[in-house]
Amino acid sequence: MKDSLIIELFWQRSQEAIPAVAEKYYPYLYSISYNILSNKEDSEECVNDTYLKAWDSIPPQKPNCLSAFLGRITRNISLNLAKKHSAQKRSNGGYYAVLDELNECIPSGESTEKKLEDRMIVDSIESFLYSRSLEKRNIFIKRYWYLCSVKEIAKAYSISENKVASLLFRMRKELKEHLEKDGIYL
Amino acid sequence: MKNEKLLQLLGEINTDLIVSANKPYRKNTLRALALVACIALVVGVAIYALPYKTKKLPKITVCDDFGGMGYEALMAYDVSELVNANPWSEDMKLSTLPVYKNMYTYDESLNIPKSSEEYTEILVKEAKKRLDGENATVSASGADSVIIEFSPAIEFPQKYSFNHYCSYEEISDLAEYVKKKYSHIIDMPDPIINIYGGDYDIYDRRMLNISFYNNSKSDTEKILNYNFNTVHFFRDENGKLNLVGITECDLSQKLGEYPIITLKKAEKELYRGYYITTVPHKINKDMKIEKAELIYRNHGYDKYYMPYYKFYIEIPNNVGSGIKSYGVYYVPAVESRYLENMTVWDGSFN
Repeated sequence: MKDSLIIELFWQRSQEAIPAVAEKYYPYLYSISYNILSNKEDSEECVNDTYLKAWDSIPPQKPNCLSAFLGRITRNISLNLAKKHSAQKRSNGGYYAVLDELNECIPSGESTEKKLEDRMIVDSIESFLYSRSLEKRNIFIKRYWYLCSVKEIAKAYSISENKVASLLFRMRKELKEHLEKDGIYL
Repeated sequence: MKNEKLLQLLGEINTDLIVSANKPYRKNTLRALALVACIALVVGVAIYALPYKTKKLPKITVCDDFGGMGYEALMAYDVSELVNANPWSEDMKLSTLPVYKNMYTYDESLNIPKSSEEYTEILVKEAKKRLDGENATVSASGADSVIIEFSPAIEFPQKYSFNHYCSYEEISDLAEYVKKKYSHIIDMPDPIINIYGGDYDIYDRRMLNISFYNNSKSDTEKILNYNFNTVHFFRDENGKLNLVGITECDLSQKLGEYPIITLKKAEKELYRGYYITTVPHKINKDMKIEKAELIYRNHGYDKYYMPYYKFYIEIPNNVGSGIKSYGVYYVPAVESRYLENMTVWDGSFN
């Protein structure tokens, strides 16, 4: 079913909206959640919560891109759940591995107390990403938006894991420099 | 946590970025078309050439030109003093290894070819980016390596020293310090320390050197990193850090995955005389192999970057004082059916 039709079902408060979303987007949303949580039951729960959240948000919203809209919801719900789990053991694969890597992008913050609005930081991250080649940019987003494993990315791009790791390592370093240049110290 | 915040903020990036990253990867349409054409060609050839099912690897030539640099022998009291962090081991059980065309073989006048300029320029540019405020100049040093020169040379903290008299443990400590302090110059996700050398000069001074290469889960990749992508730290006569050498060989022209022989087989080949060397001593059955490793030779004379078994054999010397000389002999690791010019070594010396 076309996205525009699915959104129309939501707007009509049709009971068919959620099965239509599930049919089209379940694998996509499940993979986002599973990359973060590495747990089948939790991921399924997050995807179901995504449907409910979408039901509550559409209307009033009318997303231009349904996949990204839903993906963003799943990502946020899954990250929140992972955060809850952090009180327990650090056993959830993808989420913590990515957190450790992102530590390298964070400027020290000692030299300034200035705090910028989140939107400015996001703008800076976006301008960084747009200034990179499509391939590099997508690999970075695959890792840090979709939380795909290095192995998965390497397979998708037909390059070695080592090359992916090196590329991400350089990009994290460059992002840190970019944020610092923009005066951003998280 | 700050990284959680960053992860959360990354979630807010533009929709088009998210959508684009989720599209199936294709290098470009032309490439895709080229791939289709290649598949068609391969299928065609396969049908035509049945029963020749295996892909034919081009034959390669063994380079026996060493550039007239004297002969390659190392002096040590015991072979165990000759060290390095070569990741290769016989246990890896490798059946094939990649062979590459050396894009920048020296021309007939032994000059670096002009075609390398663009590649070298990129290396220099990348190396400059690695600096973090150090007072240094970056210049090309061959087609695929650059030198960072610190001016003035940088003094190490007092507890470290870097000279002929340092033990392996002292150099290890220093390497750990360098790895941390100069991680921006090493610029590798998971650098492995390579302390190498350990041979003596004619003044009976032993020298251990420090370099780094990137780790990998793949044995082959680790071997390639060790041989082709390295960062070396050099000292001046006062034990200060004055140079860093970065080598990144251009491996863009892969010829294929070549079947390789085992170490045992290579030993047999060595005693049969199928080796190359600069050492003016012909191998005979009484000469004992003291050490063996697998390496890629990667100097400007080589037309191909191909793996060799490198054998260290004790050879006669007249130095006295109990120090021994270990001559180096190379046996191509690639199966001989893929070698164009491998003959019994004639014993010549440059």
